[in-house]
Amino acid sequence: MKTLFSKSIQFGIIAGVILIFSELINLTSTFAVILEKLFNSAKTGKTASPLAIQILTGLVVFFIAYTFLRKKNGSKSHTAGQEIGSGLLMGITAGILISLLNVILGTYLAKGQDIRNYLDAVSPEVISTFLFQTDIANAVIRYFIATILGGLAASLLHLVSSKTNVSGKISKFIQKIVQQSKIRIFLNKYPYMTTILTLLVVIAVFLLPVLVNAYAISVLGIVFIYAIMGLGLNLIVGLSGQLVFGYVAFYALGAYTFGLLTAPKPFGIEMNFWPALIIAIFIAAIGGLFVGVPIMNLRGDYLAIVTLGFGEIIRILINSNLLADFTGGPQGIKNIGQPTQPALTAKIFGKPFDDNVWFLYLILILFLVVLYVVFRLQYSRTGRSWEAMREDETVAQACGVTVSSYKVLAVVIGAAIAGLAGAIYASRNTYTGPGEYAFMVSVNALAVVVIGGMGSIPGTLLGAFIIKGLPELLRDLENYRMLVFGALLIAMMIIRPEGIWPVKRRTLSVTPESIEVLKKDLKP
Amino acid sequence: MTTKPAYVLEANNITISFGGLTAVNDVSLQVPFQSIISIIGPNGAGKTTFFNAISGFYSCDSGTVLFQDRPINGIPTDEVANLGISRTYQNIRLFTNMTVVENILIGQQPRLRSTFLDAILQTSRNRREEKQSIQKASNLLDFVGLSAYADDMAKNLPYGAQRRLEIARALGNNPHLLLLDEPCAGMNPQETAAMIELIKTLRSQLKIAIVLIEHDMKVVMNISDSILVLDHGEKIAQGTPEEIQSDQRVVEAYLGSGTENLVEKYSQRKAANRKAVQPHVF
Amino acid sequence: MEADKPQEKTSPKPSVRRINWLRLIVGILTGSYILYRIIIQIIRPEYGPVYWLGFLNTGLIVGGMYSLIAIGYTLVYGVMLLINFAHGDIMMLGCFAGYFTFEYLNFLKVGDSNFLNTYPVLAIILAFLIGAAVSAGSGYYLEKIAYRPLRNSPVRLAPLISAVGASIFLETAAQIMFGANKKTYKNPDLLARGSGWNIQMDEGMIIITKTGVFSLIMAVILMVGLYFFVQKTKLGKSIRAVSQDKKTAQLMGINLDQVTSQTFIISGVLAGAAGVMWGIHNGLFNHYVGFLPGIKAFTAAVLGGIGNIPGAMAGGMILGIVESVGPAFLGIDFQLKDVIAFTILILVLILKPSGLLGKSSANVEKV
Ligand SMILES: Nc1ncnc2c1ncn2[C@@H]1O[C@H](COP(=O)(O)OP(=O)(O)OP(=O)(O)O)[C@@H](O)[C@H]1O
Ligand SMILES: [Mg+2]
Repeated sequence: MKTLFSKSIQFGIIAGVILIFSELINLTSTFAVILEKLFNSAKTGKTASPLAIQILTGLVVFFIAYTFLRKKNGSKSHTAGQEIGSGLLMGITAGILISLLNVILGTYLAKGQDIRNYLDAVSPEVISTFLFQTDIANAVIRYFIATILGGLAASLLHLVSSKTNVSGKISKFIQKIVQQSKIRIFLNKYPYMTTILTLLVVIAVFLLPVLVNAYAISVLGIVFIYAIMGLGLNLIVGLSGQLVFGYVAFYALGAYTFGLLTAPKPFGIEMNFWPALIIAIFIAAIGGLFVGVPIMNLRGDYLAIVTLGFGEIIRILINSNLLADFTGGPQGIKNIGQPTQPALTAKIFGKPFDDNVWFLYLILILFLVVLYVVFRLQYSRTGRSWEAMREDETVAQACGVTVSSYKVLAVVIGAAIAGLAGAIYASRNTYTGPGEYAFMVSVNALAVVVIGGMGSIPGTLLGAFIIKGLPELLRDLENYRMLVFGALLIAMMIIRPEGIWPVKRRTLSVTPESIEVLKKDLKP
Repeated sequence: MTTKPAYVLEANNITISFGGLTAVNDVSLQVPFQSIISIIGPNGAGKTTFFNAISGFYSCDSGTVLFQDRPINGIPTDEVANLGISRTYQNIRLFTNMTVVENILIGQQPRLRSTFLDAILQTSRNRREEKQSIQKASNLLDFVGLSAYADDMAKNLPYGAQRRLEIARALGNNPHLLLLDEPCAGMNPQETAAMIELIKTLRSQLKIAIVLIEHDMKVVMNISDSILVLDHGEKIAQGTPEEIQSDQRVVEAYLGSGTENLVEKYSQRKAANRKAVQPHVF
Repeated sequence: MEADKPQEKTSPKPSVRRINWLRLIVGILTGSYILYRIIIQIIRPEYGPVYWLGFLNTGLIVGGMYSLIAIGYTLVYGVMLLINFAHGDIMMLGCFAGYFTFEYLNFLKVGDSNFLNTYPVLAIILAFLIGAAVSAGSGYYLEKIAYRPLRNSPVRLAPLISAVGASIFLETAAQIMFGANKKTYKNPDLLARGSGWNIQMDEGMIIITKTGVFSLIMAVILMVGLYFFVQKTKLGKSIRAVSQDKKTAQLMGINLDQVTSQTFIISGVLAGAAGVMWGIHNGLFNHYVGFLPGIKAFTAAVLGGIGNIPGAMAGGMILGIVESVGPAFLGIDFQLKDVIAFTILILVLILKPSGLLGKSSANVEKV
């Protein structure tokens, strides 16, 4: 009894802290505006309506309270009164906390002090939005109503569902549907259908550039560039089990090499696209060798920091005065070359593609090439050795995997692919500068791999769409993007470390032969 | 002309210490071709440490390990595997998130030649090797009786099957010498009997020399050509099963005097030890 | 023939010894380049001794802070074999906490003046206490939320990825909440930035700032305190026991959860103190303040031998000094001092991966 209530207060505090945090970073109202826009397309402007904020506040309390009630359920059951009391307590605790914050902020607002010096996100307008455009007392009452309703709703829902076991039934039902889904059976029955479906998807993807508008083309371009990067990073992180924080370094190496080789300034080499691309890949691979070799005899974790350091070195160097004559310093490199469209396309399709469409095709083709390479590697002796290394480095080595060379190999190939991605990126923008190679890029690439599913090739593609495509659709949340990635990385590791689309193992076995063959085989 | 060496493995005066603790002290062992040698001794006697020295995990403080007359101490484990020594582990160490076949493919690593370029370009060498190695893996699985599990994840196998899989993986590199660390630990009598059969077949059919650590005296006395007894890192006796059973010195130094049946006593003590260490089993 | 094939082993220990060519070549190259620079500096000195002393001074001060942060890395690595990537951000939180304390005390009126300048010593102590408490608290919760659920994760990289996630989360949260623009620490007049003692030497003078002296002394006190704490107290002994052998330590009755939590608290305290020091000494800071010191402190921990506390202290000091002396010594742009730090990381990993004070025998895994 006592523990139930003290635990309830604890969870109430958690809910309250989450509410306070979201208010201080102005997440609640931003989110509320997005929700309103979803339900009411006529809605304009940037201030959230009181109701939306109240609903969100209540929902946060609801989710926390419901999680708590479901979790503690295992230990012992409580009476209906206790459940409701617990929900109420959580609501009140959360209410007290969030009201306290608003009282404080409201007082500052009333005194006419601008506290944006200290808390950047809470402008006077934001405060008044959170006070529901009324006075403090009124707002406090509304907050209490929201949180208490949230808590009560959670306990009621929990009561009802535990009495009738609705949630269990629902989850079983969903599982059943998934298991029995027709597509699965269909695919299992006709294996060649998978091939046909894949082909259809590929064709659809290839039709995309001509079908969608310019904005979508640019988004798709960046998504596929990130997918390429993700495939490369996936080799290192997902397969060989080493972590790379400074993946951007290789990306930058590729971009700058390509830029220097094709731009009119500073060197004026103005090389063709393809040879420059190959040299860029090569230089990035050498960068991979440079960081791979020092750590080849060390635990995988070291690579993380070494690459991070390497990334910083590259960033500092391209920005420095020392190399400014070569890299353009902060100005970067302009007028980077683009590939010319082969005359063939004009012949086949009647007229040449627009430049951006053509470039998207180029990205797609390179993506497919990388996909093929990565696929071949993953399902080969090399890929298996990487995976064994990831599973158990010590034993893998004792089984004869030359661990150090495989480590370096993974880093080098991963770096080469990043170099390719960087070169395409630079060519696509016809510009490259030091500002584009921040740590964020590495984080994005890592998120692509982790969220899609480490070691999973389709997962990486999915991850690229989620990481680079989705935020484009949710422009309002732009500021919170990195925040969400951070939280997502933690949450994924805890809830679903294998990612959204985990790897499927292949069936390899064949019918065995007689022992005589084995005897001959095993002759040392 | 190269003469065939007398022993597969010769370990001479091996000493290994960890800080103040001398885990293995001046132990020698000769392993003839196609022999089965057992190492016994109480917990912490240094048996596993001795294995680790042979297979390259630990480097010896002094002494030499000769594999077919070739010194191997100090070389890394992957090269040891390459030479033809493979091993299993006391607490099973499989690649748990890979399938059974894939585990064995990793075991064949030293015998494969195709590189990553072959894989990317799908050269004929790569295809041929891939096909052959998968065939060999399937044969090995059949040999240890695990065909039914071939495409399951290694972590989903039952305990006994995991031990067999470790052996199959160890066979992948065509070893001359197989080191088995407690292959029958935690098995029921039927499984143990099957394991004894398997070990015997390994020797008779595949002509591999085997050194095994085992606590189950029935197994040891049943299959060994020779038994090495370790205690506190020291070799206290070596001989045939009959000699060891009747070796008064072993019996006295090891179990206290007044013992008629070494096998019985030893097994009892072992069981007592196990209980003392892992009370939560019960 | 018998004579051609000597049977006797001449050497008592004919183990196969390999030369690590990479180490040899890199070692020789690095060594000779440093030698070359030393000769250059002797023949054609660019800077007089005053400058060198000045660099040394800067290096010591920064080094003290690096040491404090590096200890946190080393402690956590020892206990759970994790590179706590969010450690730099924990320091950042401490830095902010100290800033807010000073700001608050600056507004707090006492008589004609404000609290900050009426009771400067008390204000500084308060700032350190609050900074350390905030960092310790966030370290504690960080471990609980982001690391503890992953202790037995099937994915080996999970804790490290979670750590990156935590780092990004904290950094972005601070950025959104407090704004991206740089803020200035409001020191009490007692520790006004820039004020200090000018020591006249033959060719110039060295400025020894009060904030610098204060930071260095503070760092040394904290390090000595920590050393005794780890050597003498029960908790310190538990931490050392867990770093040596987790399983045995648990069998001996050490509560792993508790020790881990307390380790995070201790490293948080040190990082928080370092954060406040950073603010007091450097003045300008923002949410990004923990990033570079964080990775450099990790470099320092590796340099000293990760898992080794005196090593982390020494590593931090050495890194601080090398970083500030390095550009002048190598005759390169001062912009590139960060490059020197990371180059050292790579060199250490090649030349002596176990670090300066780490045990030289590679720690083999028990199988
Ligand atoms: N890497 C290591 N570091 C420190 N001590 C070790 C190490 N490996 C083994 N030891 C110690 O050496 C001694 C011998 O250990 P070993 O594992 O060889 O015993 P064992 O004979 O295999 O025992 P068991 O029957 O329990 O397997 C033990 O006291 C053990 O704690
Ligand atoms: Mg053992």
